[in-house]
Amino acid sequence: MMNTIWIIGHKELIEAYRDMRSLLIITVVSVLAGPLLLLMLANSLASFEARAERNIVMVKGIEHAPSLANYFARDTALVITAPSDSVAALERNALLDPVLIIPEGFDAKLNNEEAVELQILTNSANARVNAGVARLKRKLSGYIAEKNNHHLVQYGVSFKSPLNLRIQDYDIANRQADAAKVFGMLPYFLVLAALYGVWAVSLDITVGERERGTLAPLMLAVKNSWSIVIGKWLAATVIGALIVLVAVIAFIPAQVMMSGETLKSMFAFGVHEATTCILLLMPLVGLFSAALIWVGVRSNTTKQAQALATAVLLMITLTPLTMQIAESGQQTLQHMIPVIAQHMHIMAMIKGEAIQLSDYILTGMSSIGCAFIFMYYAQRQLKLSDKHGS
Amino acid sequence: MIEVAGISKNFYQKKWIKAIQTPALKKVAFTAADGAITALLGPNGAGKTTLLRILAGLETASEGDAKINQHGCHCMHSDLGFLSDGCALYPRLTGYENIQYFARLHAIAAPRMAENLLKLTEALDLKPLLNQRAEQYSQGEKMRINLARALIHHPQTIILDEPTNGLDLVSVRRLRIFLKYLASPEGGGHCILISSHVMSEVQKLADTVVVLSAGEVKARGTPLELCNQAGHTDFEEAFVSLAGLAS
Repeated sequence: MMNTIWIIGHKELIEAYRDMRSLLIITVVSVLAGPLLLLMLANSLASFEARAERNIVMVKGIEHAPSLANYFARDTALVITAPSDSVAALERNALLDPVLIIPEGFDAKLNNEEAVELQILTNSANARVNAGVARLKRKLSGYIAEKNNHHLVQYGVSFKSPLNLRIQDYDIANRQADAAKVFGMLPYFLVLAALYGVWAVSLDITVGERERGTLAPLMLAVKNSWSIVIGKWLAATVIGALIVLVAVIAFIPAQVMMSGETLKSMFAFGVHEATTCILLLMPLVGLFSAALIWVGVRSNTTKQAQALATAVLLMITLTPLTMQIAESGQQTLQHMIPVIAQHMHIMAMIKGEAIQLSDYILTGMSSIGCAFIFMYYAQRQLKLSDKHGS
Repeated sequence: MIEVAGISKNFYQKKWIKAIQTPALKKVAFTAADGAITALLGPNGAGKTTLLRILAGLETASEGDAKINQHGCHCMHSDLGFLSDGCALYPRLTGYENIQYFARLHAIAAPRMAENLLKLTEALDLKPLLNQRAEQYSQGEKMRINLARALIHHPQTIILDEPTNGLDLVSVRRLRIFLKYLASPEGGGHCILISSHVMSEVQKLADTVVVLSAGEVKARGTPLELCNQAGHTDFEEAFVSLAGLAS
């Protein structure tokens, strides 16, 4: 049986390799889609950063810092008093700028060269607010530099230390959580790349073969329908796995294309992340190829197979949405549902959470288990079509 | 030897919730002996292909039984060579690779495969085709490679569905000589069953003819016996008369 599986798998690989045009199209699309996705995100965030260059400063406690108010006025900045519930307003994205919080006695303390702490409230989940932080920091640096110069001119010596003024970022959102929000579509993309990789080849080696008329002699030559299904599955999985491998690795150099600092700090996709994605996606490639082989085997025409495969695609696209609807609880159950499990773990990876070995095993086993079920039905269908006419 | 005993086949076409039954074969019975070429002769839609597919184990009969060398049709026959469709080749493989693939699936050792391929290459003039991809073949070239694919494992029983489709005159003559050789004692005394609707071909090739029309066996015998049976000297006239076709 192993020899037959190898003969069938090997032949399918040769045929797929010789269909270079189809293979190239799928590979190029998979390789380019990731970097294009990142470029799109980078451009959209960069535009936020550019828009944040508007000269507005949202301040709480400006009355404690007349010198700073004077500096802002000379800098033609429009000073707006922040609402009392700034944190809540930032959380619900009601504010478009970061909030500078000035403590009581700011000027007096600064003149006495005492340590003063300024807080900047920001919500890094809101790219527009977050982009305004750099602008505010630049203004405060300018203010410190001017203060230093005045001190030097007035007393002949500079401040004891310009670090007396400390700016503390008070980030109300977790940076990795923000990354998860920004890069929420990444798991969708990767899961779909796993599907695209096996789509054409799985249908071609099943329903395509039926249409070409080569399935009948094949079934006559091979006694065991399991051998046919496993041989074809192996070939489709190998091709899909290679395409996913290339698509995932393409993200590493693609990061260079990200211009915005915000995005760069959020998205660090290195060898570790690539390995995690590959380990999570490989069993899924096996599952998708088994599902599409089943679709191909039970269809009489390519048209019929494509209609059925579209239903599979819709199911795969919609499945992660159920995860968002039922987010609380059911974690163990979700780990066991293919597509949802991969989606969850890739999101966790983006958030910077650790993925346990048991997670890999559970996710992999559930996908392979489902693949086996599809293969069982595919070989059963092959036997049935053998008896009832193909 | 192929023994067909009262085979019937019904196809069902679903129309809403009702299934309409269409009989394709009605209690077909005949025997195809070893060392002879038996031809199934019938008009289009007579049920020839359905019967051959049942014999090859690709479809089940609704009723009746058929045996190939004492085995049921659904036992896989490694000694059965079946040609179902002249175009059934892998287009991106060369002719040689197409043949080799099936030889390997039949677990034919490389030296035996080479020996069988040499015979087939000579008989079917395959040499110029072996290194070309199947997608470049004409209809007749596809048929020749397909024949080689079906016969590469040197099967005892050979079932060919309209094997001369798309072949030119020279190729038809070559095939005829080769099939006659295979049926002869020197060629191994194979049992050969072919289907066709070309009178001249059947008359020149077949030892026994089974006339199939509307799913029923209308007559059987040698071409001469059929002519005598129908009272015609011309085989074509005899066939039209026996098959109950309007001339």
